[in-house]
Amino acid sequence: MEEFYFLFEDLNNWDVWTDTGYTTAFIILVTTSLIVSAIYYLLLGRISMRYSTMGKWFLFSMINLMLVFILTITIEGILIFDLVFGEFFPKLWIFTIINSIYSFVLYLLLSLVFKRFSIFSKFIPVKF
Amino acid sequence: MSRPKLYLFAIGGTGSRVLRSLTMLLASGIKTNTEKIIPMIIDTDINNGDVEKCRNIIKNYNDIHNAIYNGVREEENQGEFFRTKIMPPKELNISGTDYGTLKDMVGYNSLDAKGYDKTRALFDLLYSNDNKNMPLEKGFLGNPNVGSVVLKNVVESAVFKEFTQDFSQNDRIFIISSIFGGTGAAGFPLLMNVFRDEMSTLNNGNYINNAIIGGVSVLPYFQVDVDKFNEGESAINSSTFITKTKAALAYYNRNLKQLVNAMYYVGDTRQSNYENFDGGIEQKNPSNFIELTAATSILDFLDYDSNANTKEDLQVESKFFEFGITTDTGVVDLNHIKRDDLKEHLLHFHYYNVYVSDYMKDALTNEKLAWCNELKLSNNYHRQNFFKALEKFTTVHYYRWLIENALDKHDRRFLPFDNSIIINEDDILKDVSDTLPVKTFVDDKKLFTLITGIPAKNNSNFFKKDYIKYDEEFSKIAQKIVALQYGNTERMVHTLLNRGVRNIIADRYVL
Repeated sequence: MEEFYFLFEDLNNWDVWTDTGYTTAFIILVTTSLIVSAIYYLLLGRISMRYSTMGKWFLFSMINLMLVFILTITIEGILIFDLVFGEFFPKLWIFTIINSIYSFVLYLLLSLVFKRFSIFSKFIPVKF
Repeated sequence: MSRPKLYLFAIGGTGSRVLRSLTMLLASGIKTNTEKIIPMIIDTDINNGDVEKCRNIIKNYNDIHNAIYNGVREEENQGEFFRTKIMPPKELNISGTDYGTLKDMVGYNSLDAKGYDKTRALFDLLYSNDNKNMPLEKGFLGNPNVGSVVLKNVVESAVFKEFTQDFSQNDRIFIISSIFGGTGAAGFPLLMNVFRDEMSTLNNGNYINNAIIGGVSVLPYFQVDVDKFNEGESAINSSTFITKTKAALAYYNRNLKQLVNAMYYVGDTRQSNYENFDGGIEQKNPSNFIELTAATSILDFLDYDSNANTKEDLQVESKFFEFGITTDTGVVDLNHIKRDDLKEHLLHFHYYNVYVSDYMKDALTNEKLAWCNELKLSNNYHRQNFFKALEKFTTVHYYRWLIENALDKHDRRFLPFDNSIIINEDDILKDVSDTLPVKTFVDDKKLFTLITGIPAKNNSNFFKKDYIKYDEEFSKIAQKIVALQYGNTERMVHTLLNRGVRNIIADRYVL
């Protein structure tokens, strides 16, 4: 998992981080992106054409990014690091931002997979 | 046996205008029991504006029909827009300009010769000096006695010979004419006598002689400015229309009723008021509800005893029909039309036209739209001939036809749809070239009230606003259309539009 988060400087002095920190963040990343892209393509993309624009697709990618950001910082901060609200831990913020950027990339990749199952968003974000 | 061809003789200005309304009905996809319709226009006034309009609309119709249905089997796509084949009109032009006056045509001056004095006396008895000296280039100006002599030349024309050569055993003939004018009133009896002449030497004379023949005779339904006649500016006097009609009906009753198999009479006591022109390019009367009813008689004739191939097969030798509406109203809408198929097709066709004029170009330029991509339409499809032809038919011909039918100059207006979506009506009415496209504006709300007196079902409530979404419907069915494997993009696009509009109407209307 450390390799996956190669952009992040490892918290070597935190055993708990190596054990569960990366895994938790990865689960948040994958689960949230899967749910958001499934909602966009398999639910909304088959019900109505209202959401089948690049603008709406980008909006959903931002929703995904925000969800990943909020969930990562909350779950990692409270459950893993036992931080209290208002306590600032810079490395966690950096890691959360990296996880959020990954969420955008994953959402894009999942879009390419899910789009074929949609009716109205089949050609979003790319035409092939 | 294959379905019959219909040879449709459209005589005079009324003939061309009925043909125009028929083209609209056929464009709406109404089913016809014919392989194809071959219009034969008879008019001595070759510059007649109505004929020109008729030529243009049929050409546009054919451009669309050919792009979609070339090579498609007859039984496929029945009931879809532009389905029936109409051949380009054959024009039996006997240019009046070539003949000059009736006097010139019959060689009146040569009757001075010895031995012709009785012929000359008879001629003088039958024709007034005005008749004899009347220039023939603008038709017969309400003088069927002149027309009956001149139109005889139609039968000698090359186009008429072509028609007789092409005529097959089970083909049908239908003649559209007005009874109160000149060209139509003269042409109908003349053609009937030629077709039913047992001694005929025409090609396929036997087939023609035994063919099932129908006709629609349009009784007076408009009047023209009598002042112009009184001042000598025009030779047409509409105050004589009724008298002429009575005389002609009496003649038909004596001489034609045994020749024609299905005869339709349409007319209206609520008359339209037209400007008085002696033919020519200026004779371009607006479309009228009566012409539409006359056009429906052609569809009725095609279904008339449909198993009969010749007149001998008919259960009844001759039948006579009239058209009526249950309410004597000044504004006719779809509620007054009792033929459900006609009502449905006009409704479908209107929603289709609204899509073409107001939404289709945007859809074709939307790179992400599902149905366009499923059908693999190119990025510049909106610039290609097919879309241009669809757009032209809608904006130049269809909406103009609607405007004309609803004009105030008709005492009985045909207003099936909300014409307030048309935003340049004044410009259209001033446009003498008839080429200016109609501009429309339709908002989401208006889509529910396009049909006069029949609102579409609206499922809006406090929490949700309902919309009629063409592209959503089209995208839903696009994959099924692709699966049909037509191998013809235009046919795919058109089938999609047909089925999509049909689904929308089924959701929104109970007819």
